[in-house]
Amino acid sequence: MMEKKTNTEKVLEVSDLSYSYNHQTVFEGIDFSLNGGDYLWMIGPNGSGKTTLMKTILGILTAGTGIIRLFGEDIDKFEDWERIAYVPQRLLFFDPYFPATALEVASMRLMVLGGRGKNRGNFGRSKDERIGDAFEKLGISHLMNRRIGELSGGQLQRVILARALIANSDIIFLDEPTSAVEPRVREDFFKIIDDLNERGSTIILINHDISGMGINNNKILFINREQLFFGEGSEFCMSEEMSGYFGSSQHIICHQHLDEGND
Amino acid sequence: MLGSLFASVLNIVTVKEALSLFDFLKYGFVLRALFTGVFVGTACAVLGVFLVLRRYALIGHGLTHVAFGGVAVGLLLGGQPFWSALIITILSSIGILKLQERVRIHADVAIGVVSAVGMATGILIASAARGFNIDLMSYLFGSILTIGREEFWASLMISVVIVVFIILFYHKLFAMTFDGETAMVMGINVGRFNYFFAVVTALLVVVGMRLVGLLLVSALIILPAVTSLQVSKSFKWSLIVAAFTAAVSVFLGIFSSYHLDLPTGGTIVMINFLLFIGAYLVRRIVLERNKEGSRKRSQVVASDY
Repeated sequence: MMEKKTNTEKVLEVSDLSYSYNHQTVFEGIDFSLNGGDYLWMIGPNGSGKTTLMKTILGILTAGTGIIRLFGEDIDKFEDWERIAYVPQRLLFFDPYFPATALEVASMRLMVLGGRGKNRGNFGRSKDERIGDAFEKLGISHLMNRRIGELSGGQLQRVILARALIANSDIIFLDEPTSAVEPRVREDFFKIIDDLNERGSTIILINHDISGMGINNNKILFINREQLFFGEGSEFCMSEEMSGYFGSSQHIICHQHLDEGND
Repeated sequence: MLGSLFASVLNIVTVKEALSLFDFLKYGFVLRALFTGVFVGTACAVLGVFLVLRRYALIGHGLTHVAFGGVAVGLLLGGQPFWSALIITILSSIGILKLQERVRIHADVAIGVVSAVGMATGILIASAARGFNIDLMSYLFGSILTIGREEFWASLMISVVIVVFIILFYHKLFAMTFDGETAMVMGINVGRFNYFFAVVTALLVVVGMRLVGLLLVSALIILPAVTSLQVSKSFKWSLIVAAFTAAVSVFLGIFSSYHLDLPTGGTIVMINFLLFIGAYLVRRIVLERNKEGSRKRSQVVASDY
């Protein structure tokens, strides 16, 4: 098993974070930090506030209390958006009549942020090459000029993932990126994400579906309106919270972890 | 009317006679109207694509009602009603945006409320000024063929500025129209751009009302955009086709209204409607052909889930 490169730079610091809507607490007491190269898996039951938490960290929603720091900079003052990529939940892009090709949607981020920041992994390639590569990696090259409304749910998710990939960003936030995608393709997705992680990108992932995911070197954030666990995956394997959430699939994940540890 | 046009077309013997159909272009006022109409129509159409996609399609309609109130106020105060209409409409447009954000009511409701109030204000003030006068009517129905020199240059400039702005910020505007939240994570200040749309739409409404009238300016915002959405596959083309549709409809509208002695505004809108029907038919035909093609293709190639 390959040694993961992590550095000691704190890419994300969250302290005493809470968010309410219509006087209802959506989440509170969130407190954790991540180093560069970490792979965080955010889990929790439906309605636990995971998506809201991710949106708050990204600055889409404004927290009720608490501090969020990205690369040491407070979220309100943060400006280096080329260092962040976001793959939102599938529900958001549902307008089948929106006039845009897959290519236009996937290149959106690249066109907005231009060549700012580190052109990590660029190797002097042109925009078109980078886009073409990402499409190829995700097996959607033939869909480049199709209207996004004509794509199936899984195809669209691949386009959105391609959009985040083209970026070569330092942190990638993903909210259920494989919900409409079939198991074999899911594996491909996570291989790609693992690959990015191994090259140094920090991954923050919300994912209900546990198939194809081992705890490995992941960190776990387990929330249910409040923070119930944050730490190494291996620790989580021994905890009570784990069986409560995973039920009988617990041993699958933890065994996977143990197997890899024995390589 | 139509018969005489047909007759004159059928009677063409020489090219010269055909060209004489375009004699109307030699008139200064017609040329000015044509230029303004094409420029303003293009700006409306391009802006309209964004507005329709963001579910703000009726904002043009709503703001024309407000502008009517603003014109009435202006006429009452004497002098150019243009400026009072402009200020009041811009404030109302921002008000609609705020209503939607703060009070959390839907855009269509916010538009409905503000436009009803605006219209009522205009009616009350007009009756206080002892009835509708001709000036007010011309703002209602527009008079593209009697545009003054100042308004000509003003509307040209505003239209160019709007289109240039949209071209300059094209990628950011595309991103936020597609998905506002992800756009924020790209560092786009969505709130500021929303203000921009509110102000610019108000500006265009007030400028447009002098052309095709309040009742019809919202048509230029909605119709070319909807026509374009029938046939456009990419975002870039949706803007280009909308602009083109607007320009063609203005030209044909002025052409037909001149020869057939019809009100220009209404003619332009009907031509837009015909173009929309045409685009819809094109889309249906293409869809049918695609269905044929894919039925044959799927028999040969395994589909990709």
